[in-house]
Amino acid sequence: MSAGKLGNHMKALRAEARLTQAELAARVGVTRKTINTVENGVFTPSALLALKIARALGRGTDEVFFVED
Amino acid sequence: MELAETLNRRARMFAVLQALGFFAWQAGDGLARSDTSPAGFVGPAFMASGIGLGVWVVSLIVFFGVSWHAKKAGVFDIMNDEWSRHVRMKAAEAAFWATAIGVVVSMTATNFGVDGWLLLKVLTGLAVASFLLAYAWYDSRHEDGAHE
Repeated sequence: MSAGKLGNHMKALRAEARLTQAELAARVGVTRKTINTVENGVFTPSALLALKIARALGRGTDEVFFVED
Repeated sequence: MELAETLNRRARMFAVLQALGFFAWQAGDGLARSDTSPAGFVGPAFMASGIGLGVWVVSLIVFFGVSWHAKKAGVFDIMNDEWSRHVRMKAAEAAFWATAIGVVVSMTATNFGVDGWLLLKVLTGLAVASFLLAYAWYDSRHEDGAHE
């Protein structure tokens, strides 16, 4: 099984929810930079943070995150 | 949230000052006290060491002051979130390599007559400074997209 990489639809879902990175960060309780790095695939979040982001976007975790081949 | 970012930038700036101060203090002191240093080095090295100590102490106090401010304002946990811990781990890894390479080079140099105590001082300064500088460097990235 290949390692894969965590992809996400955060940018689109965030735009749909009309949230800026800073607003999403405030909802999740992290810095904007954390949201920025997760969104851009620079940083792989923990399961806890992924769940919090999904909840803040009003989505299920699998709607926000996916494994890239 | 803006306060967290402002305090974060301030903490980073004082981390850099701590690095410079600590390195100047240790390296300056090592140079000033080493028997292998040229006589003309002693005065300026003592001065660099004293200034370094002052800069380090002041910036360390301010650094903890920033943390205290963050705690009082309720943004301490936000400033120390997952990304921030990741940055510190990367900085520790970078500092480990800087120190490991420094030790190998220094221990080799002692075989050729360089003062081991001086090298120990320089290495101590390097180890601490490289962690703080790496932290500031890694943390300063990915600041774009503020209003996206």
